[in-house]
Amino acid sequence: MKKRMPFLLLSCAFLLAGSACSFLKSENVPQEKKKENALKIGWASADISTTEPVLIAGQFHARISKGVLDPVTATALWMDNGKDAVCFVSADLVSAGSGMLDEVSALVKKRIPSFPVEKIILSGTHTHAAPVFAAQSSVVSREEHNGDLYKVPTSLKTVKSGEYRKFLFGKLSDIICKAYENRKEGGFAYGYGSAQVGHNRRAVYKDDFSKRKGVKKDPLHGVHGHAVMYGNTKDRMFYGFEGGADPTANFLFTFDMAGTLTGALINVSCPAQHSSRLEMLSADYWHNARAMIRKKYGNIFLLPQCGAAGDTAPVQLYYNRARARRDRLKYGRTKQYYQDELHRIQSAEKISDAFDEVYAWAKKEIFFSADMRHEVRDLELPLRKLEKADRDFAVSELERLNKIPFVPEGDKPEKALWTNSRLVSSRNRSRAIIARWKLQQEKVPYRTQIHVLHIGDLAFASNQFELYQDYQHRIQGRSPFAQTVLIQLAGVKGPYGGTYLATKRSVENKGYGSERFSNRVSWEGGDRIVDETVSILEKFKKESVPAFLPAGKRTGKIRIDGVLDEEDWKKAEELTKFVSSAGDPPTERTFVKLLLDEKNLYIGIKAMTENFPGKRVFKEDAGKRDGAVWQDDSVEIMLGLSGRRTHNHYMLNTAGVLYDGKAGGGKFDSSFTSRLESCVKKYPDCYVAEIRIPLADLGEEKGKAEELRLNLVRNSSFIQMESSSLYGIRAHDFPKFLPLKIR
Amino acid sequence: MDKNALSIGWASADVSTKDPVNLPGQFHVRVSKGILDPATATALWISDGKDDVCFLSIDLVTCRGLYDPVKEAVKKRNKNIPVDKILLNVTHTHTGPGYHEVGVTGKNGPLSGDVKIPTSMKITDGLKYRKFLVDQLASIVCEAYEKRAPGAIAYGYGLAVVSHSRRCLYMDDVSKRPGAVNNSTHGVNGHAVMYGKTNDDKFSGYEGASDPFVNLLFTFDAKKKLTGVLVNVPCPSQNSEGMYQISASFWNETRIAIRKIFGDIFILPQAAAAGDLSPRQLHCVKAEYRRYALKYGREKELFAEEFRRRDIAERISSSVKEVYSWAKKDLITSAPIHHEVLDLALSRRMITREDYEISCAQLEELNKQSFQPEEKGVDPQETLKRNSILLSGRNRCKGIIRRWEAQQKTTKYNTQAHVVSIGDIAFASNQFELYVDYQHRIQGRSPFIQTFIVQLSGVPGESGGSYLATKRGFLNRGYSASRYCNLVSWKGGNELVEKTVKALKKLWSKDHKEEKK
Repeated sequence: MKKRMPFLLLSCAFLLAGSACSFLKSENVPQEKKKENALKIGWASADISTTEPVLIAGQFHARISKGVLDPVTATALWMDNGKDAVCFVSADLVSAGSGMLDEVSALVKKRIPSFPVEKIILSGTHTHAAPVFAAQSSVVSREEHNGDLYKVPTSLKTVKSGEYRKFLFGKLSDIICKAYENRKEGGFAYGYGSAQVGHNRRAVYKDDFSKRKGVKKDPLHGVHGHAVMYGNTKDRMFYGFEGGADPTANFLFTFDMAGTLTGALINVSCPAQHSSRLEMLSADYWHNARAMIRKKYGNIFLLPQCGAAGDTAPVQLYYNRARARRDRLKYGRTKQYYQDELHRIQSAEKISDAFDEVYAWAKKEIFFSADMRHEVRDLELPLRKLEKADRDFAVSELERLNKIPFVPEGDKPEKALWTNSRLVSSRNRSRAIIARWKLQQEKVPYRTQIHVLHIGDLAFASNQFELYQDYQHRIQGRSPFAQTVLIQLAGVKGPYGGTYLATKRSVENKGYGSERFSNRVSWEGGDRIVDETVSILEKFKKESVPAFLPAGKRTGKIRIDGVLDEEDWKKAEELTKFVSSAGDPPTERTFVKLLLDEKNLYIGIKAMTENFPGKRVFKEDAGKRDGAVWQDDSVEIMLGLSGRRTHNHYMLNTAGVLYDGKAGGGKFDSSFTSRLESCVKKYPDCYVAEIRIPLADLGEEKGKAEELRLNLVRNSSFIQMESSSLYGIRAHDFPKFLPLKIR
Repeated sequence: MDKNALSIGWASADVSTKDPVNLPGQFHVRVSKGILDPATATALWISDGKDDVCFLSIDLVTCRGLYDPVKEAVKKRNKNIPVDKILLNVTHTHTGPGYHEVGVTGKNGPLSGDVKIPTSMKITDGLKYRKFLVDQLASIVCEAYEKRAPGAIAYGYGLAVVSHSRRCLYMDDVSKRPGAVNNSTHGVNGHAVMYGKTNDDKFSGYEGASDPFVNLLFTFDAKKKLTGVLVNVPCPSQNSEGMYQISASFWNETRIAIRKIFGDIFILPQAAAAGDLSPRQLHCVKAEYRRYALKYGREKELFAEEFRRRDIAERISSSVKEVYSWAKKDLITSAPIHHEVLDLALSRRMITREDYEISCAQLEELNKQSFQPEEKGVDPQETLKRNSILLSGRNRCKGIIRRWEAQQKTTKYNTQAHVVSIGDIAFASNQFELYVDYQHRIQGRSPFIQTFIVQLSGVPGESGGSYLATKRGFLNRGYSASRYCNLVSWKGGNELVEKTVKALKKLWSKDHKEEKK
């Protein structure tokens, strides 16, 4: 990735005191265009609200909108590097299912036939106050299952869901095309901060809640076990929360070529569900967050995403009186103008504060070019297994529910709508179980897709589920990228969207979100998503090896004294990307510089020793030349000429003891004696090896510089022996050694 | 004068020492090499004219055996002071000075026994420091008491991400993996590992929740000027925990950051329940260090976890600032105080015969290993480290054997907990490194508007500390939930919750009745 570090950094205090414009102008402006992997970025956004009365998605009962509390929006961000691309699309919707991706992609393709629609990652923020866009609402009637032809009362005016669907998909395809068409050269910066927006919503009890007296066992409520979603924490048997609530707010900022901030992607592990019962359209806390951020940064594009948050919500389950008191004192009132208004403001403040904090430092490193890969993988996941008893229960429930008549419209059509739509929901939940039982008998797996991409050292991974956070932590913990961002509720091919994906422990605890109605895919399927995602991330990382190693041209005298103080060393590009044999960043960092002249290769290695526990003691047991230097604190240099069968193998331990030999075809010959010159010098926090290797060592009259192939390994004995190599290239994997290029 | 008019007094002292002292917190003796930043102690006395509480917080790792001597010393200085009202807690810094004897003549301390301090090393007798420490503590308690003056409190809470779960779970039992270590520190893993690797293919997530709540109690003088703040955060102050210099860990940077905003006010830190938490995020370390390099403009830290400490301090101080902005609108000049000390007998974590036998065998094995003699050319600190780790291992086995013997007589563990109410808020203390689930249970069920849990608080006798794991912690095993770590069982934890909640309800009903009158 090409980046520039500014020499002068504006202080945070100065920025805070400045005008909105001063925020937008970064001093980190490239002086020249970077051709290779140069990034192009385009943005577009649209209001997808409607003032028409539409059904609102997100509850088991039908709600009809009574206007727009705040706009629900959709935003698209296109990024490409000339080789690969991504189009992030976020919409203030409950999900991105019901065939949305297929239909929107088709519309995009119609307008721009060359558009790579497979690069679209379309996700919903999971607001529960946005219009239904499915062809048929699941809470009013659903043709594929039923004979329920219960319709919205005639006295209540609504537009057909299909009409809004057409409007929405048109808007979405439009912003995708516009973002693509608007793409211009630009840069991005990234980082993360803390914004505690979500709280764990799964309260766990010492007893099995479903066995308590009077507990309902219908398809809407009869799902509890030891866990209860939004359970009562005052309960005497309350045990604690099933898991945590990830406070990380991930940010990707975009800039134009003048270094002006143009937009930001914000990823928070929390659904936008404060105002989840509203009868008006609303983007929930994202509306407040957008307003706060734009007040400071101007009218930039903002693209919200939801990280894994199946088990979290912005709802605080305890300390509610403390919270009410806090609201009263902080905002000067207890009255909320709409449901959870003040809590939305609080969530927005957290996001906005994190934005300020992260932007202040992330903008110091803007990337105008970056390696980029984007893969979409089709997966077949194991179904959440239903027992015959589940199916039988669903059949008997459906039978029971079918006997319950719809409430007549009468003079209370809204009440009738509420009651009747809940009845339809209950029937549909039972029908879904029966349908899934059939699929299970036919051994039809669950088909889905995941997207995995990286832009430099920043990675994204999407899936269609309401994913429990443990899965996110597993992917992030195992990802080889500096920062990995999860996107849940992303659109996939086909009709499905959403559905909770619970972990093993939560399936055992049951409760809404983890029971048979909520999970189409088993926890084993969740494990599979983790492994598949990590495997792609690892593959990307392994492929992220540069085409060559940059070497400076030696112009002045180099004294081999363990001090890299000559001008040529100062000018040489630093190589830092060492990867441990386990694929991780090593415990200790290593910095390498290379210099070339016609006769010699110079290698300067600065091996940091900052993490040694206690007093630093180097392992220097090799004793004499050609001893087992690789078992010591040492550096290894593998140098060869392209196309040859063998390469030279040099090792130096911290005492300066040398091993020199030939390697190739799995054989090692230490009888070779090189004319290498070296000096190893120890410093309090590192050691430095300065090495001159005559190219004549390579066995030919005059080594051909352009044919040189090099690999470097460092061995650290600190805690247990750890080997790391440049870009993770295995020590003697000669075909993968990198050529040198003078820069 | 108002009924229940509050009078408030503060005092603080530096309890650091330049002398070379043991820094307890690891399984080896570390002899301090000066002071990185001061370890301090702070006392806050609040009285309503009828009842009292004296919060006393110290930058130490534990307060074993400290409560009684402090009370005695206070009594000696001023016999009128109700010393039972002292609620003493430590922040759990792993770089606070040790106040126990260490070495050949060592007694009482966790590393006491026959380990020899190398003759070439200077170490001050823990008793000398103990005397200094107790004097300082008694002095500030008396000073806070004597300086009580009419004032006001304000309270509130904010959200600040300080701690993270430190118990990594794995799909498999890691103790059954090839090459798994089987000793008293590492041989305790099961499905959980404290500070486990998150890039392990079998990593399945964190055992439990963290807790971002920062509970705050501000104090004001009669002129409504802010005089101090009690900051209660569910996180041990244990960044830089392997250092050889005295340090308060992140509370040092936090105090500086708060004082930068509010001036030189008193700051009293408390650790809420955090047995399973630490100030370290385990699964995104690469992103974290990139963040610091960009944020602070350099990659190299001046000392271990310097950046984490600064980052945490920023978050806590921002939260204090945010909460202060609105909490000060509700200044409370009078409020009933009720302070009860509960004598509790909690169910011990029982040592099974198998545990006992394993420990006997392990002890026999460890007793065969000899201490390394001092050698010329060998760093004496390294010799001390090796020998004290050996001694720790033996002591951990001896602890199990002692507990096996003790449980033949009683299955109960005696301890104390304080419950204090000041108007609509309450404090509940315990001696343990308490898993955070217990805190959520108490807070979820407490009738008070805010309930501050104070872990690692002082109790009579020589005991103190020890992790109190939950049932799921116990089942998952791992350090902090092992037989070595838990004096009290999860059943005892449940008992602690029940008794604390009961006492809180009782206190609440007292105030409620008084209000009715």
